[in-house]
Amino acid sequence: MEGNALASEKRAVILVVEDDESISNLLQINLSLAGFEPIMARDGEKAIEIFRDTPVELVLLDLMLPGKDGWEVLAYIQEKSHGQTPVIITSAKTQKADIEKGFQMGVIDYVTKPFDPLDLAEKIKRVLKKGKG
Amino acid sequence: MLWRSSEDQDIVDTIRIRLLIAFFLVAFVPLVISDYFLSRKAFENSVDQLSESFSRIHPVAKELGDQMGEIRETLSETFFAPAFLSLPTEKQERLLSQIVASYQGKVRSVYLFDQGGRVLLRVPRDAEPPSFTLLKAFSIGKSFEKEGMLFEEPGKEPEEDLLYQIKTQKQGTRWVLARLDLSQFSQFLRDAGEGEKILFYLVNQRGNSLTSLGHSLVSPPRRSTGGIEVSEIRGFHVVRDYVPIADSQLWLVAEQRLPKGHGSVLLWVCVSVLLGLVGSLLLSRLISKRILLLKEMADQIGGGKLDEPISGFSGNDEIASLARSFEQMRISLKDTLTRYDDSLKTERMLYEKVRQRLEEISTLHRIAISLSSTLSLEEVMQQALREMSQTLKAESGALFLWNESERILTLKEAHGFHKFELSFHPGEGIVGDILVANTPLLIEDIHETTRYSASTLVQRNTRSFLGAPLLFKGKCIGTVELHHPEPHFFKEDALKLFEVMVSSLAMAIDHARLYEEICNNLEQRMVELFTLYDVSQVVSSSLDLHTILNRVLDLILQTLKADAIFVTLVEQGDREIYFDRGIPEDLRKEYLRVLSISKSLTSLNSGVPILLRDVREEPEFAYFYRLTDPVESLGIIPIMIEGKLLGNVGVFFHRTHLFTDEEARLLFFLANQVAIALKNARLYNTAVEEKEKLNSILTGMSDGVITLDKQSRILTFNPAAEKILGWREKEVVGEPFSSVFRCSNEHERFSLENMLQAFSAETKGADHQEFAVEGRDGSEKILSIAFSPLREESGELLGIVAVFRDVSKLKEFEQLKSNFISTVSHELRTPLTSIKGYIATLLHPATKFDVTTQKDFLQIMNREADRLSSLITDLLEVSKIESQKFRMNPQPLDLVKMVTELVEKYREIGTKHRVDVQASESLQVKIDRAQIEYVLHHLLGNAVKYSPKGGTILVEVRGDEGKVYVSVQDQGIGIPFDEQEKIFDRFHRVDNRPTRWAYGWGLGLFIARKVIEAHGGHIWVESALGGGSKFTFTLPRTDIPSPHAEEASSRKRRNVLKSG
Repeated sequence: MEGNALASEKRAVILVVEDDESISNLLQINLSLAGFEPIMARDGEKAIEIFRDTPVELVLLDLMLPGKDGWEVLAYIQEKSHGQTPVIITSAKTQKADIEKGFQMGVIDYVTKPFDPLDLAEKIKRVLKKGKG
Repeated sequence: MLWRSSEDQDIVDTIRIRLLIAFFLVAFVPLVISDYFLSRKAFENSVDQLSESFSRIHPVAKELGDQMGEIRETLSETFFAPAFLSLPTEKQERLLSQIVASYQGKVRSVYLFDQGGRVLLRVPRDAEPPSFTLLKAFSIGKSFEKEGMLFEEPGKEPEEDLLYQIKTQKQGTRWVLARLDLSQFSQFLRDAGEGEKILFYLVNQRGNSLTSLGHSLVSPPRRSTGGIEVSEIRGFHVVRDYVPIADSQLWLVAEQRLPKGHGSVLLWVCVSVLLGLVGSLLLSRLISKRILLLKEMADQIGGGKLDEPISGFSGNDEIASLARSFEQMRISLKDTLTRYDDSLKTERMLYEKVRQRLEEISTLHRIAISLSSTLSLEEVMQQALREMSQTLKAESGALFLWNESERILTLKEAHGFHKFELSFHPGEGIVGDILVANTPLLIEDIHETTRYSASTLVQRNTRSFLGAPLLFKGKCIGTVELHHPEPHFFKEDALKLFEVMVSSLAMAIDHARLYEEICNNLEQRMVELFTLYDVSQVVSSSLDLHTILNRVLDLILQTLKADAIFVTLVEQGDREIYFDRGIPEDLRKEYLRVLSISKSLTSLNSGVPILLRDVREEPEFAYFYRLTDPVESLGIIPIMIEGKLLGNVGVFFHRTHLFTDEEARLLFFLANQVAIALKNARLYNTAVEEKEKLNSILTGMSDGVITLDKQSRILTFNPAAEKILGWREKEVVGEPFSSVFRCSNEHERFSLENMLQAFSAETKGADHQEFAVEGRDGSEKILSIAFSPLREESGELLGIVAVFRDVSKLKEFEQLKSNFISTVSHELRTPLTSIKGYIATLLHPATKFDVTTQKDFLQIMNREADRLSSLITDLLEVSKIESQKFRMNPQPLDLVKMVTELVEKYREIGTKHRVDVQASESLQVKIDRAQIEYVLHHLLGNAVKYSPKGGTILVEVRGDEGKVYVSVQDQGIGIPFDEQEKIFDRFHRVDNRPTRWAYGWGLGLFIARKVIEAHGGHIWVESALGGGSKFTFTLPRTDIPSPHAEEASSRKRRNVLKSG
């Protein structure tokens, strides 16, 4: 795992906000395998703290979080980065209202759980490539 | 100008006086002037002078009269208009002066009098005051129709009778006669100077005099108003003309005084005579004898004996020639006088005729007025008979009217005797003859006729009789007659006047009859109208069939004066007397049989009434006449509604009754009213039933139903509405809808009001819409409201019905359900994500994981699968509970043991919290172990979830009499007080803070409550925000034989388990 992560010269930093331990681990493993540098946050406060202090190229954001929820975190990120940081929501909330709200708040994508972590990694790659290009 | 006889008489008198003087002179002067001192020529001259002076008087007066006539005409043209009164005095004066001037001294002065006899104006101003007084009586009231003239001489009492007569004649006709004050009248007469000849006139407004009483110098009026008067006052001829002007309010009098003239001649003659006497003595002998003879002759002529010729004077001397002159004079005088007398006679006759004619006309006029003043037949007859009798001066009179139906003449009115019952058949007596002959009849003296005797007359003493038929349009409607006890009292002329009067009376009687007929008809109509009105009133004011029928029957009985009446109703084909009056009990069947008569059946079914004047004429109905109380006339009227026969109204008479059109109409109308009443009564009953049904529906239904009027004010408010909103019906009736249904949301209020307003235009209702409405207590309810308009058949809006239900609970439930689905979805997706994700990772083609990692992954997947399975179990539990398939399998066990074991197991799984158990030794319960374990597990799970890491969880188990208490206490964030009850509800979660730990609560506590309650226990929570929560449940205890045993056992078995 560690070795793979070092394969790329400059690994894109991804902030992963996810409270469920299993999913958090899953994402960490898969993103690392895909050549990113995931930074894990298990709640909203932590996520905001990291985003404030660390330059991040993309955010994976769960909505149901203890403490500050995903919407609050999203609002902070959009405000802080002036909408420049792409955010992908990963949530078990599948209701149309939530999805619409997400896109209204400027997210790049809204991925509903359960998802394929490999597909998600590909999606992130495309987003980052597109952003660079 | 027409000179009247009285004046002529006066003039003739004057002429006679002068003739005497002339004869005197003629007789004596020749004797006196015997020495021819006075020559014959001078004598002749003086005679000429005398006759000239004498003849001068008459033409002057005549001319003056003519002038006055002209003046009068001018005046009436100029001044008759009341406008003259409004002129200023100077103007009036000037006008009058012009008149005076225009007659060049012939009219010396003009006076303007008012009604009271006051002098208003004198023209010229320095004219002497008038030599006469006009009495107030000159201008009698406007309607004064009676012509009259009152003439009085000094020293004679005024004729009170005349005045009185005028008064009494007017009393009956309401005319007011200005009263002539007799005392003033007498005073005036006393004040008049001696020798003054004063004339008074009573004239009507048109200037016609009433009657000629006595003789005077009064000139009758010409055709216009006023009159002429010539009189002598203090040696003057006074000629006056008086004209009423300005509607008799003023009287204008022109006066001219003329010197008598012959007075000075007389003086002169007398002086001459005295002088002549002295010198005449010498001559007297020579001619005295012949002179004496001549004197005798002259005396004769002077005495009026003009028939004797002057003869016996022969020779050619002066005396003889004088005698011849006298003879000629006598002859011519005689001729003149004869002519005068003749013309006087003719004029007198003419005058008499005119007067009579006038009198007739005025009588007729008066009768016409009196007849047209009343329309009452009785008054007309009474007045006419009285007037006729008075006019023709009959002693008595009678009026008979022809009764067509009885063919008899009946005495209807009497004058001069008391009316009694008397009738004649045609041809019977004089009255009957007049009727048959149809012509007037005059019997001058009944004794002279053989045909009639006075004994057949109403007045036995009658000698003179006048009778005439009352003919109108060629039909004789009666007779009138007048009687007088004097024979030959009535003559041909009276008959003529009588005829005219009778014909106008006939017309008046006919009018009066017509009027009475109209009145009677009107009265009949009024009665009918009132009847109809009454019935309609009753029908519209009452819904009680009995009341209506009672009233209708009463009215029919009253109006038609029927003897019996029934109302039948057709009920399922049977005819029954529903209501009746005057039908004997034992005859009811007989009466009812009328309806089964074939004629009745056919005609009544087609809505045609049967009206029989005489039952005997119709064989089918004839049996009615054979009843113990025979019915002669009957009427059967169908009661129809919309072409359907509902029943009949039957009317029966014990006498012959002819149904008039009006009665038929009335019966029809009343039957209709009965029909309407029946319909109304039926409708009403149906309406009442429907209303009761509706009421019970409205009361019973769970939906709120309210009705609103057009102005959206509340009319009704059903119990469900009361329950939902908290208002009582009586509090809100009459209140506007919006004040009861208060929307806190501005937008909703607006749309609610819009919806309501839309109803005035639209016909359809509006579907249910939800509104948040504040109840009476201020709590917000979500109401689903539907409106529908209440309309009349015509489509006019009567009001609005609103049906609503409280959907607050439903809304809440829906929200919970939605939350639940979302929660379940989330709870399912989370473990699934892990499982699926790890599998996908493991299957990643580019990556190989070592065995340890693979095992780690699989363990995670296993754990997540467990999580998924437990969640599914929960869901199944819930669905079981929900679907009432919740089954218990209770078994006796030791609760303490069970709890301890469970906690032990919990500890084995490994937790970062400390779990302490405080329990008594043993507590026996009978429970479904799995279920209670589920509860405990859930409570512990929550405690772990909500306690900070390293916190202590205390599990306590204790018992008292009958119950065991199990509590789980954590040191977590606590639960707000108002949420403490709700957390046991299905799907609830403390979601004011939607944090991760909140998920999973909902189902667990709901299931726990259901389980505990199913065991006969309770579950509750004690908590404070930030102060941890303590969940406690109770279960019934099964091991308590006695309080002592419990005490002992609890002491013995107490044990505190502690765990790290």
